[in-house]
Amino acid sequence: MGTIPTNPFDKYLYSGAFYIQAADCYRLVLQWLEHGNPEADGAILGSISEIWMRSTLLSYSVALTGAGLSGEGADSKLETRMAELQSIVAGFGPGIVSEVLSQVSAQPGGPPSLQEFFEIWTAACAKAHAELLNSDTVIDSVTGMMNRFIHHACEMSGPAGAEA
Amino acid sequence: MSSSPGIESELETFRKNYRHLIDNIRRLESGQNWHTPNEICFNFEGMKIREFRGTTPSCPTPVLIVYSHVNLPHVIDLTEQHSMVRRLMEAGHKVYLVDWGQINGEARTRDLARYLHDYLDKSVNFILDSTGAKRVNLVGICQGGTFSLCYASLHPEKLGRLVTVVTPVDFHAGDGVLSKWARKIDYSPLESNPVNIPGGLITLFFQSLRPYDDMMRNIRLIRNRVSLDSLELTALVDQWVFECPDQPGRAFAQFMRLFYQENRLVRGGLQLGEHRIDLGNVRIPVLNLYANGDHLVPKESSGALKGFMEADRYTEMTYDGGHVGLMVSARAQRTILPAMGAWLAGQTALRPS
Repeated sequence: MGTIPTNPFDKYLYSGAFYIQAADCYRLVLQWLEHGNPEADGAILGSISEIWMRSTLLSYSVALTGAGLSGEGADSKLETRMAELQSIVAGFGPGIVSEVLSQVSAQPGGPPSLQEFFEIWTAACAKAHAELLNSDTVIDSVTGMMNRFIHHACEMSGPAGAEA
Repeated sequence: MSSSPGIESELETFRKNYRHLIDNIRRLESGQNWHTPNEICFNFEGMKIREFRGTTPSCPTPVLIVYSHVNLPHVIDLTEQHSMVRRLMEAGHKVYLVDWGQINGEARTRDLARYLHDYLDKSVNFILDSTGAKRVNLVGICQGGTFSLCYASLHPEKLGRLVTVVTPVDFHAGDGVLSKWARKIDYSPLESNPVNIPGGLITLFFQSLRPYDDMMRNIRLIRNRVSLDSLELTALVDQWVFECPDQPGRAFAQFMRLFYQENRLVRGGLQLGEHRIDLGNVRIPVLNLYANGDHLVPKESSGALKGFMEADRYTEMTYDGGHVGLMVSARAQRTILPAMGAWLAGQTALRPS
């Protein structure tokens, strides 16, 4: 799940995989709607948060690893940076769970269908993702990596030659 | 975990629908680019001019489309029903296009002035010479629109009309992630010691901007079990998205610094080579088309052009949709693109989209 999609149609595989994972969440949510309360059910929180983490970090790894960070000139602090990003992304998890559960509970016609649940989950993640992209921490982290990539790549290429 | 009734069968159906989609989409996978017959009539250092064939033009002024260098241009001519090129030809225009092409290692040292003065000016001159027309109409798309505005400020005498399509003008206006990120990157090593930027990186960057919207679209496509015909456009756009060309290092860095960081097009003091760019010199009729839901070029960025144009020469139309949708969608083919064709033909009364 952490690989970079290089075939345009791989995205259907990744999306399908997340849908199947969301179905696991959906089962827990149905149980919660029938019996439980959300505070007591760490499994729901864990499950929704886990999918959020995986899907969001996939998109970041796509952008960041694609910057050549795994090749020559790689950022020696990459692991630290990725850990930072993971920590930031994890911070958004509880907010997403809360948003998803509040919307699921407010469904007028009873429990949502799997498709409806997936749309609610996706919308909550999209909103959180947009906030992440615009946050100073993520901007600093991503642009910091880009700056190091540019610096290393230009250094390795040598000065512009006579073809200028 | 207990299994809830109906979920397993729903997932089984989903898996079958997924396999159905993948089977179909692989049948559509092709290396096809252009739909409309065209031939390369001019080639200079890898930059090509494509001349589209098929209809007899009724308008005397040829149209030159200047697409962004960041993506490949064939997205404006994917199928008969989804083609800006076809809509322009149906409006009676002779259509040419600047195809920046795939670059090689030597391109890393090219600067922006070369794109503007050598490539774009040579293209316009070629079309003027080969058609005998007195002027050329420009249609600039996205970054190509920014290039076209710069060119129009330098050579208004060679141009009849200018259409800017989803074109960034004020690079600090709106809430664009691209603009925020670009402002914090140090491009100076690329200007002094350039390397080309891999196209794959550009693709992956765009892909990471809205992954959840894309995921939702993908799931709907799987669940709805769409027909092979309906999938054709999706498959073509999917392939196009993954084909960003490499970017020439120095020109890319200059563009990011001068436009995204210093916002020189609207703040003034934009110097490219020996020439100073001033939007006030664009003294030709301009039609500005932009999308209200554009997440790559915010509407505020494109709409800012109005403040620099004389009122009697400026027209704008907005489209309720996104960046690519304005060029590709079925609705755009029925509304905003025919209106653009009519405006270029001199019919100034535009119906709102």
